[in-house]
Amino acid sequence: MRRTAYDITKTAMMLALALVLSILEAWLLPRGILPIPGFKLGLANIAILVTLYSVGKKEALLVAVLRSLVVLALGGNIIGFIFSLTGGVFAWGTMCVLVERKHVSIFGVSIAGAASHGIGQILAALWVTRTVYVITYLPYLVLAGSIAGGFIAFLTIPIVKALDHIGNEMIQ
Amino acid sequence: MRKKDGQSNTSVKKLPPRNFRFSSGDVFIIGAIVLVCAILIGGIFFHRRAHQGDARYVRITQDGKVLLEMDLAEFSDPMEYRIDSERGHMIIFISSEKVYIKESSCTDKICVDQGDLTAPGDGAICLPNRVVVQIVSGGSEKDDPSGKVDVIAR
Amino acid sequence: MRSVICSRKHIANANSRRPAFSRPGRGVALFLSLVLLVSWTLTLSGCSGKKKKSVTLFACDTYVTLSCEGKDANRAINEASDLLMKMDAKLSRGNKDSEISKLNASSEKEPVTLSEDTYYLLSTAMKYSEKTAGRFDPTVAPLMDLWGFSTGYPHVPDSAQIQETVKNVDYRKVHLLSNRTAYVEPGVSVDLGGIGKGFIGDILMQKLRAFSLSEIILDLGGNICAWSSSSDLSIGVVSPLDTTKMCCTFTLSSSTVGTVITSGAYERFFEQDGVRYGHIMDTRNGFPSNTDMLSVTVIGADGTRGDAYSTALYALGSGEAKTLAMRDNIDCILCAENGTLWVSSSLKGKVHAQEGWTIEYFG
Repeated sequence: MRRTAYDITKTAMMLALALVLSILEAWLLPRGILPIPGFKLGLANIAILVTLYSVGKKEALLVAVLRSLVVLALGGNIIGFIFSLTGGVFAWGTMCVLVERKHVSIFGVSIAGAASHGIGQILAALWVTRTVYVITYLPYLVLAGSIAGGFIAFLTIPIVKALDHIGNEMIQ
Repeated sequence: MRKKDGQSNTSVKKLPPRNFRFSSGDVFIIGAIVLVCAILIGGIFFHRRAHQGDARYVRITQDGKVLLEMDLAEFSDPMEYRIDSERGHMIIFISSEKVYIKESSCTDKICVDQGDLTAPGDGAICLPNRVVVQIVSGGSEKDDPSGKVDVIAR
Repeated sequence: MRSVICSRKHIANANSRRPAFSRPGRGVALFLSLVLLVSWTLTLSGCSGKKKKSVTLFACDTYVTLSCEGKDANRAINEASDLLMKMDAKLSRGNKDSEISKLNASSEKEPVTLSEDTYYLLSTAMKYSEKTAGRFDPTVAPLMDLWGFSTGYPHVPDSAQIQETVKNVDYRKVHLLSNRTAYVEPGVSVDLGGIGKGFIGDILMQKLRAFSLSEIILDLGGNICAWSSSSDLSIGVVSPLDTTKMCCTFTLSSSTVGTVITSGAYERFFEQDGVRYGHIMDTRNGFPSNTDMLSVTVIGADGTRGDAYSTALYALGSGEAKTLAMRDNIDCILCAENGTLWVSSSLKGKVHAQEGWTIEYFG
């Protein structure tokens, strides 16, 4: 498999987009606004979905992991990093499986990805706290995440289409 | 299709199929998520209701280790429970009506946002400090080896 | 009667769910990381009307819970916690200003003068070392350091290093002089941690008995020191196979002071290459003691003695342990690998086995 300069550019753009969206989300929704403590919309997942659809699976994982790392380097805490990483890897795995299915659209992929993100985070929380109680958060986190996931898919579609359009113009 | 026109020359790899229209598989995914969550929420709800009248205990754990477990009825005088550990410090307010995390040295303050804990099943988690504060019901003697003894030597 | 059960319950819960080292690796990590944990609970017990107070502190490298019931509970607990912190500071090897640190820095030319308590404890430790032929030894600390048990990163050290270190593990290299002075030979390091909790428990109990109280239960990291004026107390002994369960219970008669002290490698151990290494050292070869013994519980009025003997008996293995216990009249429960509890016959009727354990008396 060969990586073209165009693919690398797109991946880099998406990493930048993921970072901007991470920061934007923290800025738009300061703590305490959402009813479920610790819940996030996951806007950065837009960039990961775009990468998955218009570059490839490996690159999507790369964006997810690098995003977590850069957020950590930009002054995040290590716990936040562990969580976004486990959540991100879980979501990526699920999305990779579902994206191949003909009868599952981007909505299903995004929703299932968001739900897996929640499950991954709860598993990380179980490991960190060693307390079974954290499981009671699971349904709320997964439900809220799934709703956000649908919304994210909606925002992703125009970006994928726009990238295709740019690609077509370049070739012509 | 569009995908092939745009990419066949620039890349030999195969992109995943694209489906941007809401499809049958999505319904199945959403249904499964809703079903599982409904079962979990229902389970939590009924568990809570079953233990409504029981004595309420506050349990504070760090790294899975129980730091404090006491009947809330003992706190007719409220107290502030301090945790000073290498990970950070916390102040937990405990009274016979409610428990809440008053202060925490963590950066996200998610634990403080979790507010008042009043009923069995309520809890607040501080991940950076690895602390879990829970209200549990007192009717759990069966898995509690100390139920019959005054104290355990270990 | 109901009031008694009701008021007991919170003590039982508050103590027992707080194992000092329930999860071995984390236990050791937390052991070092927790600087101080204090909880004050002042309670007027609703159902009995008796004044009851309980406090948990982080001292002696573990959690210590003091619980009292009675008229003076408040004052008693306050004074006892002050005394506890003072004693801890005096006896801790980790504290650079403690008397023990000064002793470890001493030499034949420059002996140190110790306080009455420390000198007494040191000479008592030496006495028990002699009686147990060094199976209990207060100079074992460098070996513990070498194996990493005191640093939180345990590992199997180099065998040459073990040979070198074990030479300095010898209580005969600590010299007690007149006028409360003492010194150690070069390379020898004293740690009274193996006996200190028992001793501090004794001192606290002595202090608390002077107050007007009806019940005293002290839990020093699992070492229990208890007394009740009117009712029998039931003291559980944790199962070395599953620390959420008990292997037996011991009934302490009312108005008797009883200490119940357990030693075993079931809470502090590590595994390397499939071999399990516990924190109790065999002072003869410098390796963790590896016998048929899972845990030893010594019962008696003297916690200092109990602390020393529980360590020594554990390191011996059940055969030799029985002989030593009979010779020195130690009341104990030896918990052996095959599920047998060897119990001193003097404890007949007071020890009750839990499911899965069988009692056999000896002596």
